[in-house]
Amino acid sequence: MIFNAYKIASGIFAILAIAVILCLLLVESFKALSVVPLSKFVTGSWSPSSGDYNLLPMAVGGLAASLGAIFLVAPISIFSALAMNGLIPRAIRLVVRKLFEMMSGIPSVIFGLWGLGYLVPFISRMAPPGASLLAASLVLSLMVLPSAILLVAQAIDDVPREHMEASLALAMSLYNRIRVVILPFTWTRIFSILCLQFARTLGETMAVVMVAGNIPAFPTSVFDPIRTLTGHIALEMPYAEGLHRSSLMLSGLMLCLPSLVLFYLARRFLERVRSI
Amino acid sequence: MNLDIKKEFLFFGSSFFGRVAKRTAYVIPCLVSLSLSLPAHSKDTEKKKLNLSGSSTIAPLASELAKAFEKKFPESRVDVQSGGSARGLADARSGLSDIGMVSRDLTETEADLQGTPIAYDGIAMIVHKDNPILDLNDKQVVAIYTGKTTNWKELGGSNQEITVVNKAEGRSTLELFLQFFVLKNSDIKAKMIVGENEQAIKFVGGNKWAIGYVSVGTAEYASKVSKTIRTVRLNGVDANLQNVKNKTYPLRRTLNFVNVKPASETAQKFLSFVKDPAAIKIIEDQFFVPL
Repeated sequence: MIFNAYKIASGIFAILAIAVILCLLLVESFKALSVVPLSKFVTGSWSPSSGDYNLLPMAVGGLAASLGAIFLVAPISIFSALAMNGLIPRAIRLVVRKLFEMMSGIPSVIFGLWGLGYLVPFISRMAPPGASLLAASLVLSLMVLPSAILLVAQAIDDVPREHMEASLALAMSLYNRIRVVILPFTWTRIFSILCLQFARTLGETMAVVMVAGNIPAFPTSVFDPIRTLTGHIALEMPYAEGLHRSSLMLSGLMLCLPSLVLFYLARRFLERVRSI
Repeated sequence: MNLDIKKEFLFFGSSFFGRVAKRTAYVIPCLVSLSLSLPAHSKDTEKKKLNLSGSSTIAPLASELAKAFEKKFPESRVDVQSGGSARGLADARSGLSDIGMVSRDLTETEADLQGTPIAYDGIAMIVHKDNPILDLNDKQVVAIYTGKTTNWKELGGSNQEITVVNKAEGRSTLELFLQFFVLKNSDIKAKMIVGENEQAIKFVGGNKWAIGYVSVGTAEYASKVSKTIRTVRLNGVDANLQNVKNKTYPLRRTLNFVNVKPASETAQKFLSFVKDPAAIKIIEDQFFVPL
């Protein structure tokens, strides 16, 4: 009874918290939405002091950095998890797992510092200025990789034992075991894991601000600097006033929407797992 | 009628959101009453209130000063709001605030107000310690920042592309930089935009061919401690606190408090508190130059 009440209360609290955040963002960004014509937010440039509020470069930059990171993370995490599930000896596997667990505990800003100190100067030697979309994607992928690998490995561990045994009894090749047994059981969960990690990369702020260059313009190559929506808010909010502040709130709202969609997708894929 | 309402309620209650709404219904009044009851506990009315508003450069400094002031005089309460130097002047004139904060030298048209300089602020151009460039003049800085000069070679340095580091919109260092070099932010062709001074120092410290600008106090501290960056002489004058203080360094400004004459008792107390040793320590901690 008490546990039930606790469950309901925490559920309500979670819903209320999200509702309050969305309401606050809506109310705060209403000022900009009512004064500035909508087309101004997707055309022109970003310079609030002269009345230009184009938020599109930041939205595109953030999405590009996160997509890049997930494209790097997806194959690496799936292959590493498969390797951890039977390809490498048990002793090494345990060490590797502990290492990934430790890595997933490193605060993301440390990855940012590493990026600023080593990655950016390294890229800058090939294609200045170095602070770029590529650096942001690499830092983000490094940040989510350990937990992605651990979660995918967990998903593979959860493949029913009888199926694994059956595949062994049938003398299936490794390739076929992965193709016929493991992937059909895990791909929905892998997809939901990647969705949640994608949402994490979208929300990451400091690590990206340190390596992305933060120029509010569309990138034309991976060596061009980008600015993400989160970085945009972090850089300008402390001293923003009036319409400038309100347009930053609007970028917060723009950031919430894809996150909510991703959580919904992750949830949908998890439900499909249960129905199997 | 009664039945209808009940039916409606039942219908509403059968949906998921209805159930949530029913269960949350009692939480909202609780929260509202809680939030209403909180301010009732503070004793604003008994305290001597002081309102400060204006420059966003001074606001963080003023908040720290306000905290120290409240500690020293527990019967007073100081509120600090930012909004730009123009607002500081307007609010001080209209009486909306007791003290306005203005982050530039006062002009003759502002002689109707009493101005109290509290500190100086300067900006130093910084480069990596391995960069051979020691000296720049303002024309060269403008050329670099507007993208007319893109290689250190053109300034007598190595054959390397210049990475221009700029500050984010709204930062006071950006404001002073643009004002001094008579630039618009949209003219600047930056490769990297940073927020805080520390970020600029870290970036320039890690990138041999970058140039940036930070508060003189921060630059002097960083070049002594981390030794990865170096300040550049501007028009032949070393960028250090000494030269900001004796007004020989050009890229500087005065931070002022303004108020209507005569100042109220509490305001006067606050203005004299700024010369207190404790206040001077706070000013130095915020990388400004005390008078």
